Amino acid sequence: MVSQEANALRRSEPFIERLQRFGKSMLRSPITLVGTIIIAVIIVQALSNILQGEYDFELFVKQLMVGLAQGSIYALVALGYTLVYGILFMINFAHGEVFMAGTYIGFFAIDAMNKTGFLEQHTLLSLLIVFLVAIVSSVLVAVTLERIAYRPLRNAPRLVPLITAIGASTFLQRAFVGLFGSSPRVYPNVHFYILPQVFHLECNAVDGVETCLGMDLVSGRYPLQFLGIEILFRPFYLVVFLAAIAMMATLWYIVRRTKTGKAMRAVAEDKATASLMGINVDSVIVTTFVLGAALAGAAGVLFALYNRQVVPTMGFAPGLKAFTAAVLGGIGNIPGAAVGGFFLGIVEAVAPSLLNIPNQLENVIAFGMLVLVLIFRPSGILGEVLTEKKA
Amino acid sequence: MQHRKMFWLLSLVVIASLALAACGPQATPTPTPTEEPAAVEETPTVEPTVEEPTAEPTAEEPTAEPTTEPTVEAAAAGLKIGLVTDVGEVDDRSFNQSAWEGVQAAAAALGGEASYIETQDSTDYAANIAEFADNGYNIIVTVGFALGEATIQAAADYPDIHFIGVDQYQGEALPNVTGLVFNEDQAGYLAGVLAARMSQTGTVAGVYGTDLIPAVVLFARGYEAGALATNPDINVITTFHPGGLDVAFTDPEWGAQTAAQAIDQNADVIFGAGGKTGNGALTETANRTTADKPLYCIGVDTDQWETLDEAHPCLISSAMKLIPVGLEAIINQIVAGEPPSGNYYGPVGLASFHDFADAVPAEVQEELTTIAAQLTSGELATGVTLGGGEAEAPTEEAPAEAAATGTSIVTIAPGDTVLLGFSAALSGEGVEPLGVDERRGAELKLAERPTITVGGVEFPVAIDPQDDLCSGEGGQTVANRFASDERIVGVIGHMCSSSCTAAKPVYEAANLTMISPSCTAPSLTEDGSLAFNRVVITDAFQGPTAANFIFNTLGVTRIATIHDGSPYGEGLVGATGDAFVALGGEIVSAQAINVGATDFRGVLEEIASTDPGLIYFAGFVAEGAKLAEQRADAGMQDVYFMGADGIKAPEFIEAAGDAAEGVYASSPVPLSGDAYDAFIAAYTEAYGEAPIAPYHATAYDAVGVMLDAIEKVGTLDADGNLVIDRVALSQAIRATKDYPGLTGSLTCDANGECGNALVDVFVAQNGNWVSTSAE
Repeated sequence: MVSQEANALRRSEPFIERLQRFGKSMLRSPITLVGTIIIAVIIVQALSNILQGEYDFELFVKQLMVGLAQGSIYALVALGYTLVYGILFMINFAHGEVFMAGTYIGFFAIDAMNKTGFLEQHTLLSLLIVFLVAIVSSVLVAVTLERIAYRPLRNAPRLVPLITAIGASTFLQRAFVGLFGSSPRVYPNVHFYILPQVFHLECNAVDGVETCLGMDLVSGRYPLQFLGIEILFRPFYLVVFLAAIAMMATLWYIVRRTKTGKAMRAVAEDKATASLMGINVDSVIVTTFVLGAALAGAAGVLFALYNRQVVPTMGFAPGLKAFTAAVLGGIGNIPGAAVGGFFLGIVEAVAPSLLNIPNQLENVIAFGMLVLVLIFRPSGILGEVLTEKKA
Repeated sequence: MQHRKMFWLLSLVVIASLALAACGPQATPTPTPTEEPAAVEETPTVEPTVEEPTAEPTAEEPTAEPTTEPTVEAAAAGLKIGLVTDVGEVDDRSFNQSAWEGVQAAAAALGGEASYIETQDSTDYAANIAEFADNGYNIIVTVGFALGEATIQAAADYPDIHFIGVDQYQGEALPNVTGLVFNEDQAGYLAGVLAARMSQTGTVAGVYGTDLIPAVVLFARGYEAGALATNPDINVITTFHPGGLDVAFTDPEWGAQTAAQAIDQNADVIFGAGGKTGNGALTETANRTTADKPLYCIGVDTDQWETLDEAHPCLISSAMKLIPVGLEAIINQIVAGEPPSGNYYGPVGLASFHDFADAVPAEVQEELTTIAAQLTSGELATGVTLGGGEAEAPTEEAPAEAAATGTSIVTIAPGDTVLLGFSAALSGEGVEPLGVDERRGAELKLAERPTITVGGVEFPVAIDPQDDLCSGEGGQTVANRFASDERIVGVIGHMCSSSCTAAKPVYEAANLTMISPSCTAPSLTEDGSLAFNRVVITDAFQGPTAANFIFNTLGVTRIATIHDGSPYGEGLVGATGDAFVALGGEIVSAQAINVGATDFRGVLEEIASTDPGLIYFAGFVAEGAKLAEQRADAGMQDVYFMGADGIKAPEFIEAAGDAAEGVYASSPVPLSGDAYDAFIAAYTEAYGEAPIAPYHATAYDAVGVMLDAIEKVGTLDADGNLVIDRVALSQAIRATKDYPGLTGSLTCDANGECGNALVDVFVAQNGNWVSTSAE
């Protein structure tokens, strides 16, 4: 009996201690308390909406799906922010415009191919060309930017390149408005059919003979039974999501497992020492920008195939959201950027309906989430990868 | 750890910039002249003392408590006069003091008693007035225009007590309130005469607060008139502060600079009128005067010798409002049983010459005394045609309907022209064509109908076109000009909502009425103002047509609404939604989106879960196209999508692609018909080109509605003069019914909404917008 009681006591002690510690930490930092209260309010609000039947599982699944797709775009752009930050410790605020530049120039390629009918005949090849054009354009813009705007300021105080980046962002945006006008350009509707043998979709019966085109990966929408609910599934959601995962993995591999990646990490740790070790710091930094810009260009084409309208100001909002995503996930952290992007996309899509908040406040919710996450995890969801020498 | 902090900072920056970006494009410029129009005279700004008014019975200063010993021993006449100061002390050497002197003198002469209360805080006005009223005072004097409202309120509460409001213009005459006001132009005239006599160089100058305040303009014009009457060859430099009401009276640096410029241009007498701005001019003149080249300056409102020591080296006199004299006269009349209600024009005069008594020649002093007397008696007019009453004898009552800058009655002699103000942007990039187009529309109406006929007599009609630059400031300036011009019967304009918003209160105060051909902001007609009317439809006009189409033509009873947060979108969703609900429909989901966002699938999923029959979107092409397209992702490709003129553009069809097919949009129909064709022909013949902007037809109709209303209210008096009551004119405009205009049959409602247009619903078919009613 005695030993059992003692055991019980021993087991309960840590819990009480933990509670006490939690209480103390709250008293020490009132902002934690505020954060806790806000989260409690959010949970209560969400639960009450669910219990009252105003928010059901079906709507959740649908919004989760579109949120993941949007989040994948954020994640791809966020990778560029996080990469440059991880190596250079600077925020490349013009990254949103790098994203825009690729998408915008990619438009001219796909538009030309659409008008000649090439797009319809050789869809895969056309798409590859568009991706290539967009990626090359983004890379060119980013490399030029690095050479002109950032490299001369590499040893300047940290705020200086930040301001330059904001300036470069505005410059690029206005330059595109000046060159191409501010009215929207519209990507064509692309139909990219695969595996007609497997998917009996998009079928036409001509004279009793049924021919199927297969699944339209880009523009198709197919009803799907799923856990007893019916959703309209768009394969492109999956494409964007998988693309984001794949690119993140590739990037992670490059940084962690290749010689180039090793050099990048060395430069991140200590530029001076790295150059003493025979690493060409300039070329490593250019490589960093190239990688980030390539991802942005690819993300841009995915974005445009999905949302179709492109304007010179299109980089601002996704750029800002992607930067937020990077901070959310833990800036400098490659998986973190992806996690942050998905998280932000899902919150934006789900939260207004779940919490019964006007949809116009989606940005308030998104950035409120950022603040909440930073209250509890100041270095982001997955934490910063701190290669910098720390005290 | 350094950069971690930085992230907090950056996150904040990001959030802030996003918030800014979100606000940016939606912000609608609404000029809000919030500052109360400061009168020329500076309101005494003596720091309120901390302690309560304490009883300090002295021979000179009476007590602050009205119930304590009276200052002037009353001969049991029962006359008790109370004075409530504006915030400040009673011995402020300015308004409060002069008013108190007048009250004391009157009480002494009439054998009454007098007391005062020093107001400590502007929230105490009513309480201080009530203090006197509850203690058996028969006459209560309140000093300064800031007490105007409290005075009127108290007058209504205490109908047996007579109130005198110093510097409080009475727009509506109450039987027991007299406003003591002054003819500023006469004071200015005297200053002008003095300046012209004293000037050696033949150049004199005036430095003024803003010309937005009629009283300031009166001072300036009077000064010019006086100087020119004395010396026709004199050069008068007049400079008004260019800023708004918030700075015009508190900018001594500008005053000094302007005075210095005038002196550099050879001016040797400077008249400074405009609070601290004017004082700056006086001080600068004092600093620059030398024995070889003496400079003189003239102060304003009260004897500034007492209030502005810095100006002593140059201050020969001040153009004063003689408050004590005016107060005494009013009190005497009240006691005599003939209380003047409405406005009493107090005499004005020049202050003592003080140290310059020898410098001003005796004959000039005599001349000034004579002119002052002539002005007071009405024998001499300043010739300044601004505002109401300055040509009237000082004791005459202003008409009950008179407003701050003019009476409501316009009298036009036989054969004279009926003049309409016309205001639009006649210059400025982008807006000039709109304004010129409106002016041409108005001119064409006049060409077609050059006269009006009242009682069988024809009077020619003309417009006075002014450029308001499509801005709030411009609108206010033009409005002040029209409001102070007694000949203006009504105003056609203004062109832009910002300009209309700024001009409306000015016209309201002057009992002028306006008909705008193009101000569409819904708020303009929402406050019950009599001044503003329009013959253009507002954004919300399409609402009922759209609702009717949805409910009756499409047979949809459940709709989801989305707006883009713009005033246009919100207004339109409100109008359509209300009309739809009134028809018996149901709004199952009301959403709003952010302009510039790209992915609306989340909100569309929510809308889809409410199973609407139609999505109604009030916004513009970019968001509309995305919504129309993305609705398919939420399984709503077969749900109707409808918008308004914001999306009825070829760009929508281009951007939305296949998803545009079958989308509906309501929109006003371009004008057509024989009358319009004839108008276009006349326009093209007169100006050598087709109409250059959209608002010619509304301008044309605005003039027509105005002329009809004038004919309705105009009367002929015994001398054959055409008499137009501008208040009645405004009511007549609102009574307009079935006026056959170019834009349709115009009927005005009680708020001044007269616009009409044919609204049709269009559908996107094969890449074009096609009318649904034409099928």
